[in-house]
Amino acid sequence: MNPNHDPHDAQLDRNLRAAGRSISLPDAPTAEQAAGWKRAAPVAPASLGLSEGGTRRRVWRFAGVGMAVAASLAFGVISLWPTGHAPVEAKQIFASFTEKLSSAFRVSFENIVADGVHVDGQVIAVFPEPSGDDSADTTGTGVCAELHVRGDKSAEDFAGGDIDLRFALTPGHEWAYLRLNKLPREVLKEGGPVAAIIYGMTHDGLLLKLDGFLEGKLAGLGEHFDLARAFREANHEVRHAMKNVHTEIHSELKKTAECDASNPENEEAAQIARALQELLPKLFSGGATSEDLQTLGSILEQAAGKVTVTPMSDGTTVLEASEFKADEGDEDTEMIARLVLRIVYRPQVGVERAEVLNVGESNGRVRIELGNASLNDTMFDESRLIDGNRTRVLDLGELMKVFGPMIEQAIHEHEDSDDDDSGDDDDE
Amino acid sequence: MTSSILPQPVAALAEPVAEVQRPLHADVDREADFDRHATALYRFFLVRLANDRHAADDLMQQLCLQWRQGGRHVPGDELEFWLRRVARNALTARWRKNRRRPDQCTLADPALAAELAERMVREELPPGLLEQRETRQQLMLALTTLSTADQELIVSHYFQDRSFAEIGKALSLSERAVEGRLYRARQALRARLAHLEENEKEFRS
Repeated sequence: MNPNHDPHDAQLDRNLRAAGRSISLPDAPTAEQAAGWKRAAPVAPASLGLSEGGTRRRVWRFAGVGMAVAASLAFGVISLWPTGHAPVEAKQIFASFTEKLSSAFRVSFENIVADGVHVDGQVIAVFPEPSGDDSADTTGTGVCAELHVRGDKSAEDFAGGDIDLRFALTPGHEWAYLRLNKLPREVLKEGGPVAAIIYGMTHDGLLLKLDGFLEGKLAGLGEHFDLARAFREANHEVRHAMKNVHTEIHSELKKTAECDASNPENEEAAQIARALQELLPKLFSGGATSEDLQTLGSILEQAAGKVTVTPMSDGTTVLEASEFKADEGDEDTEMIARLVLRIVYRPQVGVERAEVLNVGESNGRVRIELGNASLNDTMFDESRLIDGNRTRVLDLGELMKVFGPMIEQAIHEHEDSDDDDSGDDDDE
Repeated sequence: MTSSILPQPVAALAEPVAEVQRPLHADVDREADFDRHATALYRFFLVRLANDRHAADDLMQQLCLQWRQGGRHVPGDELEFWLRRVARNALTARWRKNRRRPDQCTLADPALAAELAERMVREELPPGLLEQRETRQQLMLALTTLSTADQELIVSHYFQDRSFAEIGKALSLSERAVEGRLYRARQALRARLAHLEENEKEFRS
């Protein structure tokens, strides 16, 4: 039918025009996102012809193994090398990493299984820019987490358990959510009526609204909580903690290297350390060249049987290392051998993302994205979690208004009674 | 016009959606085949995942990986069908793995969608109706089940306010040809809306 002679189509046309004016489409992917999808595909092997093999013994001692591989492999191997001759440079490198970590990050883990416990989820944090001013803008900042934990038959204390946990904290939206989909079998057997009550309260979801609880005055308790200020303080704490971690690891590694001064292996480590001293500042500042990345690949070959460095058409370079070998006697040899480390580097920006594949018993994935995490409004919208009248909602702020004075009185009475008791002791 | 978000969808019909990353020696034509549908597929995920960009990114990565492993051998004229099937499977597998559908995900409401399909051809929809979340969701669900070509035509003309001439220029078509294609796209959208249950049944179980 000719569209010009179809009155129904003409009406449809007008309504679609109105819809187009009032409905926003979801965001389109950016070129960077589209590039990220392509990175998921296997990187072409030996694209720069790096050789395989090499000595692999000591790197694991430095890097550590286990669930912390995401952080320690991606950044530990390359930034925490025992640069005994140049602690200042090491600090600068780590400061760069800390800066990125503390502004925004996303850690996601998928299909991570350990001892029968399965975990999927993500944590996203966006902190305000560091500022000495307490009134600094905190718009767009916040922390949210989504975790799904379940236990299979082999999970000792959690067999059969299945829990959803979520929380979100951003100025204006603060809540925590728990849904107990299934109770662990042990709890079912031994928990009795208490377990039944807890299950009854949470199996359709329990939403704890924290707005009035955290923000402003905690009625009756006389405490004040400023979430925006808490974020700023958290930012400071993260930075401080990361610096402490760095100092401790650095000190430990330096000690290890000095203890083995007579060992010829140490000379090899020293050579690598010198190369890294030149390379790492460039890598984290985005100033590394393709030759530098090849050098980094060669260094990683100390730990990995196979390393590829692949320049991509969007300008990034993907460094992938696999076939890792563990130290002799390491219990995790098989798991380590399966791991694949992937680092994405962008010129002028630096390391953009690091991920470790084939983690744990079920070949899970851990990914760390630095500096470019963003928060989605839907993550903070607690209404999506409320399922009609089935989900229980507790407003802790309102509860505190009612029970706060009673709690305060109870605390004071308890303190007074402690004082009396101690006074009696003194008398005796 | 509130939507702004899709950059140059019409151009996407004729060219790869973006300067996507690829290994330097890859088969560029095959990459372009995938890229041509990438925006529509990403939108498909976003609409069903309540705009969760990270989850949609993960699924697009998975889709890309599967395409590289098996989809490259699919004939060009069957690729879109293949990609959409894999995309649906990936979404349902994700929900199955997590034991259930996320709370915030968009659900089809077949009765509402059918009513909307009927009213859209019979009367001027009141602005208040179009602003309702449920209405928007049904429209988005139907839109994202359309073929890439139909979808981009609708998006370009109605959501990005591009004229027949602009679309025609991007596609090397006459204005009359664009008008005809848009007519068919509208009818397809209405049909999808009227039968939303059929299109979304695997997401309702």
